[in-house]
Amino acid sequence: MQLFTDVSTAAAFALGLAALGSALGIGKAVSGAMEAMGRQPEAIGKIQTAMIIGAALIEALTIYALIVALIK
Amino acid sequence: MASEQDTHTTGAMDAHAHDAGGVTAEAHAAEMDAAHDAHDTGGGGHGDGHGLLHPPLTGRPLEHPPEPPHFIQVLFKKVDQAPRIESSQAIQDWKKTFEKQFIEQYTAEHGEAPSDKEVEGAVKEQLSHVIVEDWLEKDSHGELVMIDGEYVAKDDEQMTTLQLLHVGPLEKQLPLIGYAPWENHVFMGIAIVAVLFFAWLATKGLRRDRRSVIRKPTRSQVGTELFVGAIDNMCMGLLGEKHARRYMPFLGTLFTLILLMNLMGMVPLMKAPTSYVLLTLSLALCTFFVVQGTAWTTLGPGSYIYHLMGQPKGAFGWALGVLIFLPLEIISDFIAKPLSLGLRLFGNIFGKDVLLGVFTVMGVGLMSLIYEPLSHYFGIPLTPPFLLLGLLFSTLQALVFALLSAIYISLVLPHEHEEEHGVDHLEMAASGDVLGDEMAHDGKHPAPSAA
Repeated sequence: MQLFTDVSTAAAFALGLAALGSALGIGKAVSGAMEAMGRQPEAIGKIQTAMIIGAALIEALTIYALIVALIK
Repeated sequence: MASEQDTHTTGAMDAHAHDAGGVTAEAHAAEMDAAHDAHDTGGGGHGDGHGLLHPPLTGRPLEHPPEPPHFIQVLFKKVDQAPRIESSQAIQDWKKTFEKQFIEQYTAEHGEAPSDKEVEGAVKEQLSHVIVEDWLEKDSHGELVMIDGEYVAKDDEQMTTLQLLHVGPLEKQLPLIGYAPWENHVFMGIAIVAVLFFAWLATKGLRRDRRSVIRKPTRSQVGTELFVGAIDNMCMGLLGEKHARRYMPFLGTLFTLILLMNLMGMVPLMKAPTSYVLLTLSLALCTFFVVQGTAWTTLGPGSYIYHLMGQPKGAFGWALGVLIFLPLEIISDFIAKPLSLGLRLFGNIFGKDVLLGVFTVMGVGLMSLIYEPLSHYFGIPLTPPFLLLGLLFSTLQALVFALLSAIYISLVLPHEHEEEHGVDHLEMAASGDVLGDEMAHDGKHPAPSAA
């Protein structure tokens, strides 16, 4: 089945898929962070820092997909 | 000028060998304009087998937009200095054939070979009347083709994005020699000077009096102490109090430099140098050298390799270590970590640039649908949300870069035993508390001393 006859279609699809994966991952990470913040409000600073770092690391994978899509 | 007019008259004479008789040069010039118009309406010179238009160029005539006002010309001047992309093979073939024919024609007419300028003028004149879109390759991705000073385009929107960004195609940024936009180096120089100035500013009060410890601190010193204190707390939280002071200069400089370079992308008429892939990769290379340097010097080579293998204990541990952990850690330390550091920063900032460019072009396109003459100068502002997003991501990615570097350094430092819970530096950093007087502490622990 000729789904991707054009490079731009494939690039857009790949990027959407990567965004889907990273959205699920970041959602899970942030939800865990929210729950922990709710349990222990005095540790909010530490948890927030760790959450931001985790989100940036997961986001990086989508950015790699963006770079490949931009090259193509 | 005179030579070009001769070219014109020659062309007109040969194109209308049947029509024109013996007429003067001025009448020829006027007739040539009319003749060219007739040519264009007649299908672009198609099928006119005799004279200089053989082989014929197909395409529609180029409509020149009105010239924008001077300040916009200055803003987009770099568009004209964008790199010259090779024209398609077909155009070059046509050019060769045309040049040969033109030289023959000219020699037959005037009895002497034409100068290079005349040949160029003839080629330019032929090309300026058509858009060569039929002859570009199908998968050119809307590439901009510069042919003798004139831009001909297949897909206007896609090219304008890259023109506005003055980045050039991505595959041209990767080679180590060749295309390197000068703005990146200049703006990085500006960022470095700013960081040095900031360092000077932070220690201004301290330098005034060497004997006493603290006079009344100046306003600039207090301000910079907030900033430096936050970085200090971050480093101490991640690296431990013993080693933090050794690496704090590197991490602080890294953070400040990347922050400034990213924020330059938000300033009009400036460009974030971190949107250049080789620059972010070299910053990651600096981190790589620091990490490997501390690993090889503090741990010692043998101990470091042992540490990489995950400190195996028994035979099973050794087998696992040598076969799995060592290659994994080597790939991770030498390839994955530096590449990911650099590409993360580059992707975020370059992606933000592309996003802003696309939305600017979209605004201009929308304006052209609404009121066409205004779209030559302005466009509908669609970019503010993405400017805010860009601001957020610029600062965030600077922080993430510095934090990850600190974490990588902390991974190779010798692990100490559990120290007593003195002051939680990370919490101090995160809550913006530099001196530690806002933190709730019980009577057991003394308040952390300044400096």
